[in-house]
Amino acid sequence: MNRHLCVWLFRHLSLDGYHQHHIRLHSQQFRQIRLDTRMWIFRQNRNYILHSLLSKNSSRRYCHRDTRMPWKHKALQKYMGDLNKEYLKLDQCLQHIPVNEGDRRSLNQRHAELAPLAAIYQEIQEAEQAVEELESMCESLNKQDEKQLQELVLEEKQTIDQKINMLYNELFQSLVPKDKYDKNDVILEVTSGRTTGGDICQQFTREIFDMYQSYSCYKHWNLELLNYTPADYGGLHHAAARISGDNVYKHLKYEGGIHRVQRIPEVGLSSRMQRIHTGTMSVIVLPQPDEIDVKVDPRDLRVDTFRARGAGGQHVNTTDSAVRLVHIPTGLVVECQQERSQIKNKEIALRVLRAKLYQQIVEKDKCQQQSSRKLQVGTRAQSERIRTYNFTQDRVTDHRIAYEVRDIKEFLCGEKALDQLIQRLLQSADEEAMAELLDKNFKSAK
Amino acid sequence: MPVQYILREWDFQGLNLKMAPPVFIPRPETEELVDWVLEEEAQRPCAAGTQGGPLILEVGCGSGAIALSLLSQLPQQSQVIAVDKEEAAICLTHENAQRLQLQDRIRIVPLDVTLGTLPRIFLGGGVLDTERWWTHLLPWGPMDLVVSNPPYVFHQDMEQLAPEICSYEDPAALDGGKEGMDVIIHILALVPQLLKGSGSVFLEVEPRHPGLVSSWLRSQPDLHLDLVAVRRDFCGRPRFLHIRRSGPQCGCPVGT
Repeated sequence: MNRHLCVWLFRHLSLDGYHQHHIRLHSQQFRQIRLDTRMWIFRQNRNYILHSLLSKNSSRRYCHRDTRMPWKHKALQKYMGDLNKEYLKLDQCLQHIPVNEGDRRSLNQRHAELAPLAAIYQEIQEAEQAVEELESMCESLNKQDEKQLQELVLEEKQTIDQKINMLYNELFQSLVPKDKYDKNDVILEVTSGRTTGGDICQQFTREIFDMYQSYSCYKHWNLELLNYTPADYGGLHHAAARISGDNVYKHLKYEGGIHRVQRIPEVGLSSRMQRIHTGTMSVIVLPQPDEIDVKVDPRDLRVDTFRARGAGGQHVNTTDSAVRLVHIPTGLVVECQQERSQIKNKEIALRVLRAKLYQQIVEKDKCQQQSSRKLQVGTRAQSERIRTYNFTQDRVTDHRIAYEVRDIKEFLCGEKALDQLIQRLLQSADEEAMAELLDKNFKSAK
Repeated sequence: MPVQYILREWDFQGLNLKMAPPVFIPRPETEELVDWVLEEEAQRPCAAGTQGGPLILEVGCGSGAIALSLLSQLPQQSQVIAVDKEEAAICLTHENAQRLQLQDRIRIVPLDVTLGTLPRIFLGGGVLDTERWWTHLLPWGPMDLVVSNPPYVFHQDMEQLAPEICSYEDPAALDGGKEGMDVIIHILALVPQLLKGSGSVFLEVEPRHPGLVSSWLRSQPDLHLDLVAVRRDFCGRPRFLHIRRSGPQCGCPVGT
């Protein structure tokens, strides 16, 4: 019950606020001057969601509730109240009661964390008070039957409502727990699945990899190929790439998992029989550590190369520059034969090894979080079917948020359509995280 | 046919070099030789060469791989003198230097280091040696470094080499004589004449050579050379030697 209400609450904020805002813009142009500058920036950030709301392409299933103020909901109020109290207490503590150095540092930290939240909360309280005053003024004016003034007061109230709306959004953004690895670069690996015949999986893998390549161009990220193993007849067997840029992991983390395809193939071996084929491919997204995050001791590595047999050097002229690194403590094996130079291959293999070791650390972290969220990143998600691409019905469905997109060709271009889906996924994840946070607080208070 | 000869080009240390039969194809191990030389050079104080960059002699330049990759990663003032006895190698090194725009910093000299008689000290007698061919190199000044990947395959192993090597690459670039030591000995013999007191020699050799080189140097005390370090390649075999003068490091070479 709690969760539903919280989720509804979040959606209402992002949606209805928009509708109101949008309609107001069209009807009251001159009012724009009074809007906060922050509101503009906020709107621009969510611009594509606004567009998608109005476009016919997306088939969202939102229920438009009434315009009652949803943030009077108990859990959120209570949580914010608690935080505020804690903040005031800390304030007093730090000023009046002497504490020792270690405690002081941690208290200071907590104080700094809570300061912005408390500030927003104060603003909200003030704004709500103002709204109440305006409401009472409105009523009194109603009795005095002064239409003009009443209209002005109503408009004032609307503006402050918007402000409260926006403040609450800010609050949500700061409250929602952030993933520690969001800012990292990633290594993206795609592997084709197996079918009983034909090469539909390999073709599909290539299309998906191309999609991610264009997506990283679209987001102005840097993509570096680590491995590209084509299959026969033009498909892709497996490939790996390193993508670096801003917040890459944050956007790509929900792409990991099994993608399923259903189509009647036009090219390739399977196209001889015009029947619907089903295939799968898997995408793995590994956050890439910085140099300092993962330490690999050269003594723990065993390097296998093709020149290891015989005397090597002038005696041998094989062009196999493939390198295989074995990390002895964990037993991880990484191969690379992408470059002509063995030294370069070794460097690339070392980087991939680092990422895989980092991934192990990340997994351990996440396993400890006993979460029942639908949008999960971790070992469980790797083997779950997350998305289906149905070419015959021209539809992409993401199973985790029950979201459909039409026009697969547009989607596979890896630009706006994919970006919208990812934003939607991130939003859902935020909602769930928020709900979990409030749940925890609610339970602990009891 | 080796793929490098088919493609007519191959990479070495990040540089793309032209390949042409029968000139020797650079091996991946040699990239580590270049890395080692660069590491050592980076550690020395900057007053190494009189011009601000080291003067390097490369014996047996082949396609110019070692010389050009050193030049591309050392300061602008560094220079290389590359020698090879094979005309084809001289031409190929010249072409590669021009491709990489390094032709101003490299001097390519056709020279066979095994020709001419060995200096007096080997003959153990009063035979005077008139053909000091290495005096051709002296006008350029004493060297800071001598680098080489000399032919080091034992003569008896030559027939066991893979067919693509035997049939297409220059055997003279591979065959090092009875114990693979012929060219190595000649290089080490000319070091006292050409190398600065503080200079170093870096060689790529066969895994069996470190011991052989060490004992040979000890048998030639008049050379005053010591094997100071042996480095392993990425397969763990001892592959590279670092040799320096023993005793007080004097500034001028012996016997000019």
